[in-house]
Amino acid sequence: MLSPFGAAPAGGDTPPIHDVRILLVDGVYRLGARVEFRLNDTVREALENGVPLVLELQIQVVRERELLWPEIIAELRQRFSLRYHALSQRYLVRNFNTGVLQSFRFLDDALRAIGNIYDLPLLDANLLKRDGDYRVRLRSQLDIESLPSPMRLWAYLDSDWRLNSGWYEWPLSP
Amino acid sequence: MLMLFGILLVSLSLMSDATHNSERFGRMYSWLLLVNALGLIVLTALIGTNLYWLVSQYRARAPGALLTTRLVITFVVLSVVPVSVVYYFSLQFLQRGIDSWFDVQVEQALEDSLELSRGALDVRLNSLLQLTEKIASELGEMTPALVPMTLYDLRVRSGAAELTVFGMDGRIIASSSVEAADIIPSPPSGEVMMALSQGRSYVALDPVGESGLQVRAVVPILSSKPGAEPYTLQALYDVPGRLSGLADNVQSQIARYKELTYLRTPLKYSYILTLSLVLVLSLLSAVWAAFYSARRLVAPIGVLADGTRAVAEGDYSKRLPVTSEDELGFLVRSFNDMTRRLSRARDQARDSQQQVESQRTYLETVLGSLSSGVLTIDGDGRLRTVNEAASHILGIDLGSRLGQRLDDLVGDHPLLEPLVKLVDERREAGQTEWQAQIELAHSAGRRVLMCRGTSLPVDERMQGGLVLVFDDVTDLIRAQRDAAWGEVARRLAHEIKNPLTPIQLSAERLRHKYLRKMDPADAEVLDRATHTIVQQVESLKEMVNAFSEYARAPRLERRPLALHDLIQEVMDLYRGSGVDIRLQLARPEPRIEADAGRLRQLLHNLVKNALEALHDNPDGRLLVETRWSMEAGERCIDLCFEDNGGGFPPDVVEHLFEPYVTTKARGTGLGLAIVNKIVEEHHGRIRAFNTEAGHARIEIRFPARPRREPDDVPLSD
Repeated sequence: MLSPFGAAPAGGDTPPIHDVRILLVDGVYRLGARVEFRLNDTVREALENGVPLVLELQIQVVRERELLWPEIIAELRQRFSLRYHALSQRYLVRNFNTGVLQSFRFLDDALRAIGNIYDLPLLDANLLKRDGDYRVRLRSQLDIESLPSPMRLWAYLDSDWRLNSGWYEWPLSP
Repeated sequence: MLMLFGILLVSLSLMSDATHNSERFGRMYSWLLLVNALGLIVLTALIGTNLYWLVSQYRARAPGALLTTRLVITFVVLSVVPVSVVYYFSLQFLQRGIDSWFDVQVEQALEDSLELSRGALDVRLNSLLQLTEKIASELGEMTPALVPMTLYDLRVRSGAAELTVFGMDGRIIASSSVEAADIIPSPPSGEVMMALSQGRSYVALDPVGESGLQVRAVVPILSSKPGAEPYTLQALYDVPGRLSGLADNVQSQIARYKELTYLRTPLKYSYILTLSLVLVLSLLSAVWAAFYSARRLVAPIGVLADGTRAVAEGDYSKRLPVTSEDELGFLVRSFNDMTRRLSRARDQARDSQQQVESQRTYLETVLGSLSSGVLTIDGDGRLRTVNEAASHILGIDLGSRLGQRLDDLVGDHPLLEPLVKLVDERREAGQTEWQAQIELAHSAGRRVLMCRGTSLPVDERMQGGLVLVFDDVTDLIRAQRDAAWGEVARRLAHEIKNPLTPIQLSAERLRHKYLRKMDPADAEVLDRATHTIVQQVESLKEMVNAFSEYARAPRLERRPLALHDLIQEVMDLYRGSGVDIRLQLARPEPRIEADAGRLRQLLHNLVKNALEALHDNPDGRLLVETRWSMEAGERCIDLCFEDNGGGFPPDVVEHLFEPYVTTKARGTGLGLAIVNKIVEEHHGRIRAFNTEAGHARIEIRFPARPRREPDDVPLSD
């Protein structure tokens, strides 16, 4: 788990975002993917010392345009808070979108549970134009702004805390 | 600027709040930091601009730059020192204060309490696991169809919150829950399944929501019936409220303490950062305030300096704007008053100077147009003022001698001696106003001046000075004398000449009638007496005629004439007189405008006069000379007669040209008087003197260009 979370896809390991499946079911695009959050020791230490982390999955459907930047058609954010419960010695994951709280004995299980995207509805196929060049792009990141305020400045300055996967894109054919 | 300062202050205080993990501002922390950083950059830029301005002012030696620099330095030192001291001690307190929050013993105690909680819960966990296993074994002995039926009873009996039986594939076989809302029980997670697959039971604490705990126990149901599907029982138990509360409390405090411990260093840095920002803000604000107040303070001084410089350069029109009501404002107002008064005073001075100038010009014009000579002499006897007429009358260019002592002028111009003497005498006598007549031995003859002296009013420059006004009364006196003599002549002619003829006739009649009748002795007496009478009457007649000739003023008929021809002509008449007459004539021959008859009479009179003087002299010699000369920038012709007779007696030489002055036994004494008259009629001047050789010499000077008499101007129609 020493490889940084935000490594470029060109790195030797498997890319942090993989197994992406986009299915059109009943006129709605649905997304499945596996996102690996690879926390380094600095972050783990903070987590184990009771600092709650907010992990975020950002998913965008964009339309490529000539000369201009891509137009964002739809945007989804999946936010999870991850913290360590000292009494039960378990990791608690809360999905901010659904409010569901889960607890895990091991951190990797918790991260896997966060990174598992299963059957996530993206958008209605009717919203897409026939001739558009649409793409789906994903990125995962650690929300530094959600860290306790004393840590934020240092987190911004410390590369250990810069856990951003960068955008990964897949074409979306209407 | 104040707004910027306020914003920075507010954001700093918010930031310090945010550092305390305040919910309100925690989110804004990064923005606050950014705002502060930007604010400080703006402040620094402002101060940089000010500093640049100050340096350029200082280099340009602008007024007030030095004072501004001094004020800024003072302000900065005054603010930096205390703020720095406070900063240093705050840092110290901060470091020690934060460190003092954390204590190894407290940490250990917290760890221990956590361990204790865990222990207490573990006991409960185990008993609940046993309870669940018991339920599972009861269920194992039932037929699958009975399981849903008995589940409710089992749940109530065991006190579980939820009992669920799952099939192999996670299917829910049966479920009973305290809360009717939980329709779908949560399936066992992967980790539970993993434990089960290894044949182990699973029991664990599950945090529920923000607070509260649940115990989850999952055990396999070992069916007594062979071939039956293996089921799994999941039981959820609520941890009793008090225990749950205590455990939660322990958990949350430990979590907080651990987080704080972990955040100790960043927290410290954050506080230090905030404090440093406060310090920098204070310093920069102080520096800026220093600049601002220094500029404000110094601005009126700069304005004053400008104004003073303008006044020093003579610009009194400068008025400064009054910007404040304090002492500086008062100073500016006083300055404005001062320049106003100065400019008024200068205007007045200029006016009075102009007035003096115009009066002076006026006075000079008046003096210049006076025919009287005017001199002013100061207390030291120096010449202060002189008009043109004075120079003209005295024949000296006094204008160029201003400031010289009158006594010194006598050296160059001895003729001034009587004048200087008179002035000195009167001043010594202390007379403030006097009048006197003096005679000057002018080169052109004796001049009579009528002088009036008046002491000047006492002032610093003219202490003891006087003004001297004089007129050349020579001509006036001469005219008076001529008029008097003319009157005498007229009287003589009238009162004396008329009775002379009857006297002569009567005497001749007496002689004619009684000479023959008388005896020879008486006849001789009569003859002698009548002869004497007739002779004397004849003589008297001649004298009277001469007088009337003198008094007569015939109208001159002036024509241009050749002087030398006239002289030759007259001298030829006296060639046989036994006197050696020599001519010495100027070249070119002068031509003058004169009445030939009068001039001829002049020559005759002079030659006769000379011949009479040389009567007894066998070597009698007469020199007649003409020559060109200059006087007062005008060409003149001099006509000189010099004989080697005995010269003029010294006692008469002064009055030679007055009537009835003669050195001869016979003579009317009118010869030279007539000569003088003719000379004057021709605007010439005459003087008589004895040469060093004792010869009598008479010099007559005629102007080469004739002056026109008013009578001579041809009348126009």
